[in-house]
Amino acid sequence: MNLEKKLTKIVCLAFLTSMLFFYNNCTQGFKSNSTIDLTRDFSSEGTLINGVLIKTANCSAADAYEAKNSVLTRISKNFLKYSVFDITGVNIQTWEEYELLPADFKSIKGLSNDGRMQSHQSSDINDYRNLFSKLSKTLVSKKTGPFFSCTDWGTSNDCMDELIEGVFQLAHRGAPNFELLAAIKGNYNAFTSREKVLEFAVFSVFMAPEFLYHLEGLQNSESHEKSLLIANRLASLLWSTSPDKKLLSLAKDKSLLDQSQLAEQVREMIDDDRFSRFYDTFVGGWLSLNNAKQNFENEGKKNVSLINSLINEPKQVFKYIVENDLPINDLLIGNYTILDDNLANYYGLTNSGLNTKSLSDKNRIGILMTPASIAGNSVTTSVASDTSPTHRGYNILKKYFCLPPDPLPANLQDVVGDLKESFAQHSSKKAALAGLQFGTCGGCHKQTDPVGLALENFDSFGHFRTSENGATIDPSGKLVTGAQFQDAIGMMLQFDRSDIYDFENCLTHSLVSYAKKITLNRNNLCLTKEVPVTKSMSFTSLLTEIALSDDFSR
Amino acid sequence: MSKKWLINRRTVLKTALFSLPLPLLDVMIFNKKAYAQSNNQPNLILDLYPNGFYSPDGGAPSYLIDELNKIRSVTDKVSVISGLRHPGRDEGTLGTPHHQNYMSFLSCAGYKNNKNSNTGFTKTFDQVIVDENSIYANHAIRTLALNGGDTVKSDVRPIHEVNLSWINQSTPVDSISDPRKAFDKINSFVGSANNTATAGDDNAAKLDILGAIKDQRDKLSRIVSTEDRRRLDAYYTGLDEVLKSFNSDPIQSTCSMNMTRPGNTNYLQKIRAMQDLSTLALQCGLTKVVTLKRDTTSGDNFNLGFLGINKRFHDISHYLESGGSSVSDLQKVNSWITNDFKSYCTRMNGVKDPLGQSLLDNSLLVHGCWQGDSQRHRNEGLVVTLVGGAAGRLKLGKNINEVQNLSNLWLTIINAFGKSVSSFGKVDHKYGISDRELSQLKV
Repeated sequence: MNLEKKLTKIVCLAFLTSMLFFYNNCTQGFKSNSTIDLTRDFSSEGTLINGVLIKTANCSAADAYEAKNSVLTRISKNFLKYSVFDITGVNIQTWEEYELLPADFKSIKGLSNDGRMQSHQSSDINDYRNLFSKLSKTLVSKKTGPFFSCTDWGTSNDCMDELIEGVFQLAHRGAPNFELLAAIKGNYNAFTSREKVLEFAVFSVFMAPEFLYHLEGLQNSESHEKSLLIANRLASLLWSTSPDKKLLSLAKDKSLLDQSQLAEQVREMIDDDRFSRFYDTFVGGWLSLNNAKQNFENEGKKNVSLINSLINEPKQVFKYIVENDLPINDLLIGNYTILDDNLANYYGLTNSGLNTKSLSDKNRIGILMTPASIAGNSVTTSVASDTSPTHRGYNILKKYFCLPPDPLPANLQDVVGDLKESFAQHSSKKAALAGLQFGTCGGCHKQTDPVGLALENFDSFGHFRTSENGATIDPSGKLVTGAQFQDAIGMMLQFDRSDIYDFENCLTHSLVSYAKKITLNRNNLCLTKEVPVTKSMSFTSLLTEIALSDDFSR
Repeated sequence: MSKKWLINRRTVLKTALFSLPLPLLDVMIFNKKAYAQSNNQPNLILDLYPNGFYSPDGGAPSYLIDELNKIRSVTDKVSVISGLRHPGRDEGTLGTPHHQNYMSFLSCAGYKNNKNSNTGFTKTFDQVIVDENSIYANHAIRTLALNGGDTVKSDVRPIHEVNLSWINQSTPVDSISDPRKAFDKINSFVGSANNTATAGDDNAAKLDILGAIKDQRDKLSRIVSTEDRRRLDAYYTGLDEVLKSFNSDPIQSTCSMNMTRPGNTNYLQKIRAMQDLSTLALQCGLTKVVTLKRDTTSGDNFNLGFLGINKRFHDISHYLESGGSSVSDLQKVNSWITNDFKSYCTRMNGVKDPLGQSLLDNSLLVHGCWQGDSQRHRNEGLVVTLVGGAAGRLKLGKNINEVQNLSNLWLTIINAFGKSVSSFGKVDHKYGISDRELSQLKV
């Protein structure tokens, strides 16, 4: 073999070795998006666009929805707090016993009542015991409030029955534990006082699994019929609480199975004061505003008042869109915001007045580009420049377009470390990520990185910036669909024009997941696609369509 | 609402000639005679810390052994055992991730194939002792599991971060990370006038009522999936403990909550509170098995400000990555942990159990880390220290330095605690299976 051939062989070997190294580093744990065979049929896996597999739902699959397993979901802390308040009139929010309850699991979607992901420990039960022990004492000593529909329970068994049966119906959400109720009624005379009877009745009704877990849909009794399921999901989604007497009554007489009555009920519930909880629970979780608050606090440069204003901004915009029946795609591309004095100073804009629409900062549109949303979707950090375009891009694609290039690599922690080192060695993050836009890595990075890089004009705390470490930030890019943009605003507009990036359907999907308290998988998108959603419809119409859909009561 | 179905459950039980409501039967576990019998069985306390120690040559570092030997000023019943190894990754020289090391440490079974799964792990040795001996299992709290780390905020392996012992491959012993919760749990048994659910003369009625919830277990279990059944099991196990607390036992009147309820404390106060609470639980006869994990598995919560170190334990444990500048900090942390453990032993030595004997004499404390050299996450060259009289079941006093499988040590303890088994660990795992007991420790 001559020298040239030997050299050629060495170079080839080196190339192959480096490619193998590159492949291994990029793909540990990846099963998807590996080498794309363009001749293969991808229809069951997603949509192939420009050589990149985007994991859209496979709506032709016969088993698009298959309820293989029941999901026992513990009620979230918010749900518990609001339910207890609505049923008893006692506000437990500031109690230490409430603070010490097991934390809710925050899924990647930011939603906190995902039954599949919750961790359950036996020691949790003692925490509930402490809370309900205090609640029962507090309630019975108050002797007033919505709980006490009659007052002579100290002498009258009928009144005692009424109170206890009432709390059972409400706390057990229309499907009371009759065994437990019978045990309490059979023990009226076994307690040393009537107060003790009532205290322990309240304690035990809240300790029962019928209160602590969402069991609706799991039991096959007549009471768990479709209308009760709808009542429970509506109350949970819109009010973060148990169904009230009226909802339970509508469920009982099956009025909720009538489409016009159901639609009317949804509108009534949105008009009710309790709907204001929706902005804290669903919107707060959906935009990961707890993470934003943490990041703002870590930053250490904003006072509490400004932090509160920033956190409230996207909620206020959402509320404005709901209350004024504005199109839901305004959430994505609306060029207005709701300012208070803090925010007006922050942006250098003029506050038009209480709860009125103002033109938003010229560098932002929609609620995904508010500082709080940007900070919420950033890594938890105390460093402004600690942004990760891949992380942000992934979050945006997963949470707002339901197109995550999953699965994440099994060695994610190591890869994140490598990426951080790579950022330090390059002139910009865009340059550092350029090497990942090809080959196997490109299958995912081509999807996530342009989205995250467009948002590089915003640091970890959502401040607008034009440069990082002295280098000008270039936010321009191209989605895998081929759509080009110059900056993040351009990207949001491209999302809005796209059929692939379906913001409205993904919002629907998140709402249905939240109502069902589970993570819906990719193929369930097909079912939520059955909900007739348009970009221009109002949020009230969207919620109504969701409630009317077959999927909602499935 | 129809009332036809409202049959008094108590009446039904009486009709069936039960002299007591059923739930009472399984909570009648405390009495002095029973405790005296159980006291022949030593308490077991695991005190474990994450990350490991400075050992560039993979052996037992002298600075650590010297510190551990100082525990002899508290009791002469101390054995420092070095040269131990467990399966870990079971793949040779690569460093094993923290959570796989800790699971392998107590089970002597390594994971196979998938580094994120539990595949291959088995019941940990402390749970073998609990499960195989009713004296341990029948205590009000089967295992008091405490975790010094903060609640894990990440969704990456949270179950591995906070827990220590495992009942089986997929079920951990639930741990408590907040000393306030641990206090409340113990307080619920010891009794408090402020605890509505415990106080009063109405316990029979309360047991009857809560028993009705328990009676639903089978019905609910039938309609849920396997995964959900595990969640229900956790609920009902917790409810069982609530039920158990509804009894007034003579033992409980001999001890009291002689400590104030911890606040939202710093790390030092937290560890101290957890040690005191575990001592109290043993003193009151509420449990015979305590596990204290001093931080989460990856040791990220351990704030070292009190030692004048402004880095996390995990960061300094990778001492080569800081160019060696972390070595002295790492040694300082190891020394503090050892001294803190010694202080724990001292306090335990000063506490009497319900029969007036020293807790330290009736206990076996197992102290150590699931990793050896911290830089490389080594599953070899481990150091485990045994302290305490172990109710005379083990002969402690001499150190042992011998390269051998850790499963030998766990086997020795399991058998000393009353269970006769011939081996422990996974037979098909490198360093997994035990081949003998440690004769030096046998009485």
